[in-house]
Amino acid sequence: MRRAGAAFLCLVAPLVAFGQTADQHSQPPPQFTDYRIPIERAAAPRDGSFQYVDLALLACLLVLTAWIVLKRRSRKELRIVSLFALGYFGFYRLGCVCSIGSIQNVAYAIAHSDYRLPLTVAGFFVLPLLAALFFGRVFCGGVCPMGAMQDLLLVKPIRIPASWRAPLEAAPYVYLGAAILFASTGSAFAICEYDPFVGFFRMHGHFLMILFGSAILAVSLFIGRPYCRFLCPYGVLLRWASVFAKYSVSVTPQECVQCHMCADACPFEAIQPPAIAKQDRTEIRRRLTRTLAVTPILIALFAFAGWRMSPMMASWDLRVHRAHVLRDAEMHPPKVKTVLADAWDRHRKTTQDAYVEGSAVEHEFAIGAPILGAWIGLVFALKSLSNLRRRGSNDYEADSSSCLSCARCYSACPVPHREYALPPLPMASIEPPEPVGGAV
Amino acid sequence: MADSDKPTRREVLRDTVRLCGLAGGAFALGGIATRSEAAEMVWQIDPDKCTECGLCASACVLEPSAAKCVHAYAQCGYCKLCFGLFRDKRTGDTTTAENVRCPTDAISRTFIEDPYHQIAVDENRCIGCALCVKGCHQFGNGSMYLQIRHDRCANCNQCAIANVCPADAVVRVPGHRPYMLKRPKG
Repeated sequence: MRRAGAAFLCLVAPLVAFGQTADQHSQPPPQFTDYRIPIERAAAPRDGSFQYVDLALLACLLVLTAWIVLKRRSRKELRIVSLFALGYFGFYRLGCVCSIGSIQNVAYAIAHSDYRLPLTVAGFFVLPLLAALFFGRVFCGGVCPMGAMQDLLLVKPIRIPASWRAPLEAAPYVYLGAAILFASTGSAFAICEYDPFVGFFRMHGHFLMILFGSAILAVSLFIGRPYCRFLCPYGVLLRWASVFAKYSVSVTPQECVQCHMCADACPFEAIQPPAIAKQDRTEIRRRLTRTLAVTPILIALFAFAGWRMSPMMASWDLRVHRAHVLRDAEMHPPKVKTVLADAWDRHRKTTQDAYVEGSAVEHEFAIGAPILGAWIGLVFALKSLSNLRRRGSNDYEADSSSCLSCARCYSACPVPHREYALPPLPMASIEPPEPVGGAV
Repeated sequence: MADSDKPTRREVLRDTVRLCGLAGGAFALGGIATRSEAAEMVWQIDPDKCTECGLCASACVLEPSAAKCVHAYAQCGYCKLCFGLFRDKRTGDTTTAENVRCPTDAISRTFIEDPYHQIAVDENRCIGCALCVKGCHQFGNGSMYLQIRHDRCANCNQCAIANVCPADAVVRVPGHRPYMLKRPKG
């Protein structure tokens, strides 16, 4: 209702404005002898044709990447595809629309039924997730321009100690929760605003964001894809979807010789070593019960913190900020009326209007911030269990949820891959693995 | 060997999840495609609210800004001494090149008949600084005003200009009527 009112005001305001200005200002309409007043050229409408090209290209690139990664198993070809994606989605389309940011639109659309989610944005949100359900994170490997930018820069990967990795890997979950909270309240679209690479795509951006982007690019010379692994909120969703991937990267098509070379070649530490010794069951049980006991406490603690912080978080919202500024101005009137107060008056709105609007947002945060807190608590509790995952394999295997489909491991594997394409050898002992490439 | 014939529990679970995902994705896309009663919203500057502060030129994520000057001919006074074009210098010659307001020389004027001059804004040069808008609004008919050009606007989820606009003049309008043009009544 509020929005409908605002829209109505928007449509009517210029007409009213014209009436006022024509009265206020002095110059009478000129009387020309032979001159016809031109009508200004119709302002260009929004060009929507690219939307469908974007969507079609996204779908094609997802399938192409899946084919290259799983069937062709070629890093070289993948690099060409990701360069193209970087050029098109990044530098040509200026990094917008992107799947990472689409999370916010989906969250906003769920919270606001009067907002129509554009079809492209919906497609950018759904298609990579669907692709992940079948082929793993092929979006990360070949289609995401931000991933491509970091991946192409990686020259000398160094390993991050496992104790550092666990907390760093919790960051995307926190970021995802915060982004959803701020987007669903309509306060801020943090993923877009703090996108470190969009400034490079547009060749223009806030100085601090360019600095942040440069820092990430500098880090990605040595650490594989820092944004993707330690920040990207969409990566969390892809991670969940790719757990169920039907076909995912399998390093060797034949018997794994346990040489460890693929794990060394993977810059993202996504290749799991074989489970040599089974973990002690009692030890596992002990850790599980401990975590289960700690989880509710952590959730409650963080939810409380979220509840305490909700007024602060709400005050970052423009509408809440406006209400506070107007209230302050009303209580302590400044000598010169502020621009905002003046504008507010001119539209015959009272401070009460701003107040109603602001307190509605504050109310949303009072609910949302404790939920965000609980989510963060849950993430921290479950992260401590991450090294308890069941690993049934006796071979080096890519973990489909953290594998970014970069195809580096294939060439590192010393087992000859060419034979994979030949008819199976009559060797009963060597059981072919799941038909990874063949069935695609 | 028996495993390859009969799917394990885990495989069945994965297949179920995948199927649900596929169905959910199709359902979501279909629902979005048919939920068309709400209009897609875009950003626009309400010329009535605009205070010509000049932040449009610098706050936009694009360079140059998506906000540019529009000139409503029908509202123009065709002033000889146009304050959209020249600085409001009270003494001395005001219609010389040194006194042109526009930093990018985007405004030109052509003589029509005494004393009327027609003003034209070159959109390719305009950077949306609103200097001319201020001059025209203060001393003239207010025929020059800023609009967000939708052939340039990236339609960000949260407009960077709206974030800093002191007068709350950047508003959402329906995508099928993306401009708030000043037009004569009737």
